[in-house]
Amino acid sequence: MAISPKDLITGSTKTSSLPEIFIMLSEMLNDPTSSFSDIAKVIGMDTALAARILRVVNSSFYSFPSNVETVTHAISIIGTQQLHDLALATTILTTFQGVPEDLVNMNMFWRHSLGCAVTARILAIHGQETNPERFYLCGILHDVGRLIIMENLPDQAREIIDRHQEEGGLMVDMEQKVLGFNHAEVGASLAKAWKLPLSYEEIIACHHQPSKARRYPVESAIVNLADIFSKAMELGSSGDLFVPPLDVKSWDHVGLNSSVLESIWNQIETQYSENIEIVLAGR
Amino acid sequence: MLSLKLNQLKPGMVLSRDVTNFSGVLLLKSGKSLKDKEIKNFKAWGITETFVQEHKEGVSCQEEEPPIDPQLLQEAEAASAALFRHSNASHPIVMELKRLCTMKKVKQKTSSIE
Repeated sequence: MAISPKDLITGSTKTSSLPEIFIMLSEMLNDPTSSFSDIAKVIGMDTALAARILRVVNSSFYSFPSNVETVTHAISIIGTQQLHDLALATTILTTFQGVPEDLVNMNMFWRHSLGCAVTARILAIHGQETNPERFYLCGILHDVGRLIIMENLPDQAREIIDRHQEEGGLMVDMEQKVLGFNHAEVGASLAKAWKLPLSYEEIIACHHQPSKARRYPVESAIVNLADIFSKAMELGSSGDLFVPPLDVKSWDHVGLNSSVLESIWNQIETQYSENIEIVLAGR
Repeated sequence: MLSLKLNQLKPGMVLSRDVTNFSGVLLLKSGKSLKDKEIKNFKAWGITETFVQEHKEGVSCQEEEPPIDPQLLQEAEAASAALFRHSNASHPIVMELKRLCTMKKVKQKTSSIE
């Protein structure tokens, strides 16, 4: 019996659809008659979510001159789409719980994801991409497929980890060998099931081979490099022992000069530690 | 010919290529020697890298950093080589990331010894 990435997503109630509040939010974002305060009301229904958003918006990354105290105020300064992505990013961290602890250290896993998220956002700003917050969300989501594999197929996940450590190849190749698919495909299926914009699906699917991306090669290449940064800086770990290879073919799309990497590296270190404190507080 | 980052430039170095801003306007011609004023000007234009002639008399291109314990460096290099074993080692981006990774490991070790 062959299992497909799609089966993994639909087989679990946790992942088969977005949390209710986000379905309402997406509808409102697409509805021109809804106001900021309507959207704020929906977010306010989840007080923990509202508190997380305010904590993030008040961090030094956004550096607003005065304290942002209401969700309505937060929306008016960062915009509805950015707020939606930010809210979803912080929610994903609470969605995936109950993954067997002998397979993954969740704290280390989210550290790797946050490292990638922060880096992707910095690289996007350097490349003058629109809506840098979507890169943050893609960074959070890029390896989530691994958690879904571990949760649903713990035996195969164990085999992937053991053989990856014994044989010393890339983990993504071992997934392919054991399962016939990899975590990037599972993550993309999740984005599809959650009806996230098409770009997210392709960016997550292609984060190891951005040159295969047909519509969003630049975005995919940014997340590829962000993943490499996060691993090279050893910010947490999602199970891989090695830095993933750079997809050289897609490199020209990003067009960063190697001489700016050091300043980006330092920028990541600062933003990463602040982000960890805000997002992983008490976890 | 040597490619240097902006913070490595020192007055007296001689350009070996024209420096232009992002829209192609010439800032300083190849063959000119650098002064403080021009280095500041490059910074303002967001220039990140320039080419200078090597071994100009009396001008050292080397960064003056405290010497690193060679054994420590060797260990750090081996550790980052293991981490990057599946990477394309000749790509300039990979080379720079690997160097930064090695330096981070050296720094961590040095501070843990102290």
